[in-house]
Amino acid sequence: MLKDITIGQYFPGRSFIHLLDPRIKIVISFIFIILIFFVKSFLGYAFVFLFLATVVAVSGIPPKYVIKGLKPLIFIIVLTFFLNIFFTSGETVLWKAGFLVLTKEGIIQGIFMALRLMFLVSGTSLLTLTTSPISLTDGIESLLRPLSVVKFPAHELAMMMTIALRFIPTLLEETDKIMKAQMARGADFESGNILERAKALVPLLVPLFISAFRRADELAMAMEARCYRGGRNRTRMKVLKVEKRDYIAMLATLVFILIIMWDSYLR
Amino acid sequence: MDTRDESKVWDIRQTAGMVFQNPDNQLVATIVEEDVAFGPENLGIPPNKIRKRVDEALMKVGMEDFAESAPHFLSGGQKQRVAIAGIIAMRPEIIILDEPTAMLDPVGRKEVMDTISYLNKEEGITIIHITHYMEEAINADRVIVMEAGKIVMEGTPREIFAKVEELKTLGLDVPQITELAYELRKEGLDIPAGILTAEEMVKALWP
Amino acid sequence: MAIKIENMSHVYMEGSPFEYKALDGINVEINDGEFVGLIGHTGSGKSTLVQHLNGLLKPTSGTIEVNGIKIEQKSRELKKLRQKVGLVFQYPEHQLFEDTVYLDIAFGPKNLGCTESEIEQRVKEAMVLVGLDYEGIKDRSPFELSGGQRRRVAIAGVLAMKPEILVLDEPTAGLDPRGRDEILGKIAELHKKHNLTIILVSHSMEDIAKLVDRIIVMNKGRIALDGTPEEVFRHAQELTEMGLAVPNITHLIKRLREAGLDIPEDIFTVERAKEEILRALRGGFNA
Repeated sequence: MLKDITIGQYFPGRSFIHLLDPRIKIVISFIFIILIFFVKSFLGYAFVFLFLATVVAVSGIPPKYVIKGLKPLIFIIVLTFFLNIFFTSGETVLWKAGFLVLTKEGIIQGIFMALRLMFLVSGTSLLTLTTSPISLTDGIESLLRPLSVVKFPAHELAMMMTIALRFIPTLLEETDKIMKAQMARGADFESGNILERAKALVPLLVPLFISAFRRADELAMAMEARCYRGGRNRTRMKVLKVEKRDYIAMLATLVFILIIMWDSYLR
Repeated sequence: MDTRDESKVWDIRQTAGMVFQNPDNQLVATIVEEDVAFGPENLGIPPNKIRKRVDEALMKVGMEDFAESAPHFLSGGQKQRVAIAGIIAMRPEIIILDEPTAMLDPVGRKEVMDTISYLNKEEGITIIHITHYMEEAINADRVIVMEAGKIVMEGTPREIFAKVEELKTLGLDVPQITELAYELRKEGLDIPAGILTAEEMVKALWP
Repeated sequence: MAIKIENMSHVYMEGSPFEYKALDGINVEINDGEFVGLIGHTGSGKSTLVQHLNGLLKPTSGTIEVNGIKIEQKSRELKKLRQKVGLVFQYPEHQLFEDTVYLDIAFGPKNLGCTESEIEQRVKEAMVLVGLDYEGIKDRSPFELSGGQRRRVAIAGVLAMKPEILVLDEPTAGLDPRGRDEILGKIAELHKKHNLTIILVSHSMEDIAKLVDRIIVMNKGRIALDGTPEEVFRHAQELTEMGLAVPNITHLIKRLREAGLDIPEDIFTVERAKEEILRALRGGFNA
């Protein structure tokens, strides 16, 4: 059934990592992504791996779950690897055939880029795995709030994300239902060329849009009836609070930054 | 309060809460307790007080065990109870329910009806329940029948349901028991008009 | 024999952590021209069963045979089956999508490859069957009609496929009493006048009791009860335990019998209750 699909791939838990303030987690994730691009040695990547492995271990998420997240990207990772191998100019030529030149620098560059991509993806997926969509939204809203000085709609953006998350399962279920109903009237969504298939979607999309608009309308009314009038003067039940564990996480990240910097510039 | 007064609109919405027909289209958040908190949050209530209101409201509709569930895993009746909790958390004096059971199965319908009558009897909240299930109107204190924008009948359920013919011409149902009593009276049996429940019927027929 | 189901089971998301057995060894036969009520609590498997009847789902194990077409796990004749069995979903008006009533009803016949003139013929007939005025509304947008009319347009869209068996899932949900009586009246007519085999899925015991010849009760993926309304409503206790309600009248009759009134127990319509109570009381006075 479609409604069993979990959105955002959140892996529920109550670990140290799960309980961290989402803002801290988002900021750390950004720092992590930027840091990866500073790493220029195998030792550096070993540290990155160690950092990630520690996070995974503490979060209690099965490592294979994290690795599974890389699967859809295997093609891109492999492609990056080969592109870098052959298109990096280097001095130590190992092998040559026509215009293809294999250099030691190329191989190292290829491995680095592949590692970079893998760490990038698993790092960000750790954020979504350990943070529920709703606290992620809260975190983003809170981080963007200072921007409302320049009229940036931080609250509205967060509200839109929340509503989207809330209605994705509902609309998936609805899609399934309408599709079946049209199939019962002889509609065919599975055969024909691209044009025919696109045309066959009309009986699915029109009712879906109508329904989405009706839902939006009713939801707007229900929200107004519950005194919703935008972000002003609004309070929250759950207030984000930086606690001891968040300081520990920040400290750990700082140590990580220093190690990477040491590896890249001082060694 | 005068509803035409634009400046009072938020006070009015807080005093009179609304529950709508489709339980799916009135839940805003992806977690039950967050949704119940939505109203109080809009009212600008301090966080610790919201927490208290949310817990209380969920308790009153019997959904406290589902506080951290996602709405799309709940049944229709449960979703509707969450919607009601969201209204209770705003502490209204009146709750208006617009066909809250129309999209529910019998179990969900009963859950919602039990919740409504609890709120009225135990919590003293004024309830206005819009419905076209006559069985659901039996336990009301007062029934108002509307047709084409006008009030055509008003009275206790007993008074209203005694007028079987009139209700039928309005295209409305009569509870089955009431209809039977009406038919039996027409046949000349000496039983009171406006019988509403099986108990009353048994007493009237077989004293 | 219209439908023959043998030892049919259906498992959703087999092999995943969400695995869920919705149907568990169903055996049932439905005869030509029968009017069957299918009832069950939400999650009892009745929707899953209904979707097997026209090939939207295939059995995980076992077989289902509909008017000579046999469907098993590996069958591919699903489209043929869909033509024989018309399935009207809950809130069918939510599936309307065309600009005019005519075009929407014509969608099914068009998919079947009918000629223009045949399509017109079928649309006309289907609209008459559900009591819609062909000339009056064929060119109107379905979205400007009333709720009850929209639902009838949607049902006509299924009838235009000329199914041999018609399955309706909660066709009266959300309608007011007037709209409900109109739709049920039309369905009864389809059965009586046109001898369609009809399967009506409903929560409303009162509606079911008034219309059908036979009731099948589903519970937890199995068939719990199967028989005439009289036979099924006799199991008031079990029905209540399954989360289903017996008609209010049946409840009253039980009370009256307990109080000592001599009336039969298998009464579930106001009409019969009146007759039997009068008979019992007047008979009592005469004696």
